[in-house]
Amino acid sequence: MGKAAVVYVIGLSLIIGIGLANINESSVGSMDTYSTYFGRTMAHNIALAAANLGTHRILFNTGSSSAFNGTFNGGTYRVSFADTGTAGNFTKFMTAEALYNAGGDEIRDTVQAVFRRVTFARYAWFTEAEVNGYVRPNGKNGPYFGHNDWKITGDSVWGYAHTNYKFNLAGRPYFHNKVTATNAATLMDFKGEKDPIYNEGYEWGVTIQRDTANIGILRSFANQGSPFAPYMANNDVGLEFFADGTARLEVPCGTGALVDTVVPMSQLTSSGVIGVYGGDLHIKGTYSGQYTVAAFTGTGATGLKGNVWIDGDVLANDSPRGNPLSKDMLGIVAERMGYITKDPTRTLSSVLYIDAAIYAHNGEFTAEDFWILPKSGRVSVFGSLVQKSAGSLGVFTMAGLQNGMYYSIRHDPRFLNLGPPKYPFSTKYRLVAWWEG
Amino acid sequence: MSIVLDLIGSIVIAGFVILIGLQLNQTIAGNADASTANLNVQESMVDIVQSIEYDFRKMGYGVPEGVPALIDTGATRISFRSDIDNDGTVDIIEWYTGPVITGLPNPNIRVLYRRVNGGNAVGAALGVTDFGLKYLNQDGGPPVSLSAIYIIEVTLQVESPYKVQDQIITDQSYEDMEYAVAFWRQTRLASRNIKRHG
Repeated sequence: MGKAAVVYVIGLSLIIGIGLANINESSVGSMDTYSTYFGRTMAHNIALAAANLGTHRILFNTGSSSAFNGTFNGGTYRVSFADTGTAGNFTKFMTAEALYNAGGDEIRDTVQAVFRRVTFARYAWFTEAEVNGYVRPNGKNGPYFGHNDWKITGDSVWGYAHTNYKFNLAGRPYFHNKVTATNAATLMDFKGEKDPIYNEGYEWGVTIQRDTANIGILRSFANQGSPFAPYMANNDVGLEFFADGTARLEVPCGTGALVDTVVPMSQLTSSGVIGVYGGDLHIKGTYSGQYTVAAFTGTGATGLKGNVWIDGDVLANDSPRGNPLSKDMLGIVAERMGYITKDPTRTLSSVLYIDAAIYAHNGEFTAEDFWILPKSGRVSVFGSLVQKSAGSLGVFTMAGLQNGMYYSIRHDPRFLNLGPPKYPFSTKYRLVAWWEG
Repeated sequence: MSIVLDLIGSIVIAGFVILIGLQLNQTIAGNADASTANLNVQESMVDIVQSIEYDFRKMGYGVPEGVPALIDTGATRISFRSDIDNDGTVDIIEWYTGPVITGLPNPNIRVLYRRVNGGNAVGAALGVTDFGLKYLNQDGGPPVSLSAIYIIEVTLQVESPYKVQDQIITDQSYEDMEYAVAFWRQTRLASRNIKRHG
């Protein structure tokens, strides 16, 4: 009997022992699974935190390129940078590596990112402030100077929109692409609605400075290798583009007293930049090739020069409106103002076409004396518009257009990554790719 | 006579002890089975989650501006662009669930498929019973378009193919038992590449 009891006890102990060992093994396995996932998550989060630190350094200090390392949340990290690219296309690569010890297992994770300084042509609409800044050629302000620019129900922006102040939005204006601004938008009720449509979202707190150095860079490249370069200073210049890649150069514009000739565009510049210093530039016609035309403010008597005048349609020979692979591309840069020249022949059904990226550094793109113009139809810009202030083309009331022109701006998708030659670019890096391991 | 009584008593007691032992063995075996099933669904869950996270975190990587990263956004399927293998070529990645698998004790198990560039779908038949996707804009609300999607909430549930014993209530019939379940929800799983615009 005593021996049998011993056998029973030993047997039960074995059964219980084996069963508990199985359960214990499962529990340990379960904990191991949890621990491994936890370790990987920790390593990943440390790499993310390090990448965020590195991103912050790049976005708030363009010159930051020094690698750094540290410890965080029980792990270690190292962030390194590599620079490539040339003016207008600077690229910075960032690698953030993390190491986390999960119960003896060293788990690594990596996050990589690419940052780039981008062309301003990527914006469909960019202003320093959403206010009218019309200044006449003689330096006097227009009647609407300083008035807020409002986008209202029925207005739409196709392409990225940005202002370094704040948007004024009434009702339900439509933004097809992401909207950014330094400050949150001011909203106003319009016909019972106060709800702008941000199709791609919005982000406030974003400021993108327009560096004056861009103008200096353009000037340094202007008219390189051109026999006509001496005429491009302190004169108003007329350029009429032709589809065969030539242009009529008229100096001074209107008389041609100094130069009046048709030449290949390649004779006007080898760098792709044609610039007038201390004079205004008048343009129209159909261009072939890739160019940036610019007008720079002079000093003294020419201090109010540096305006670009659109005298007629400015069209790409191979229209990007129909061919997104078109190689024809034009940048129009005014250090001061961009004016659409008054044309009394325009009617309500007229359309003025402009295929270009337009940049007004100290002014805006507007229509000459728009507030006294008769109803003059529509301006159709296919490209990009970057200005200091928000230029107007017409006067509107609740009844619609009263004077001037309607506005239609469509962004040229080719400008998302590449601008016209030496076109102004941001001094701030922008995140263009993010890789998590 | 007393010996006989001792023997009878011993046999009765031994019988009880053997019955207790058998019951104990059954309970322990059931518990071990449940623990193993739980471990299996957890390991399956982690495997699938790692694959999902690997892909979803790269959503939109290498995709040129102006080209949408997201292609198809369904409640149980998603299709997006990404240079997933970092070879400079943008790929199209799809994740979706297939029909329920018949012939298993658990009638809710499906195959979770992953397909790259329209090639052969690779299925993960690891007990997935729920694969849910919810798309949100930057404010956590419903997006007005694919471009407005900033956040993707992913829900995944994995179950064992057969029911397992409850670890507390050990005397259930098989009908009353439940499947081992592992549940995972990532409420902020979104690649930075799909919100870098602007």
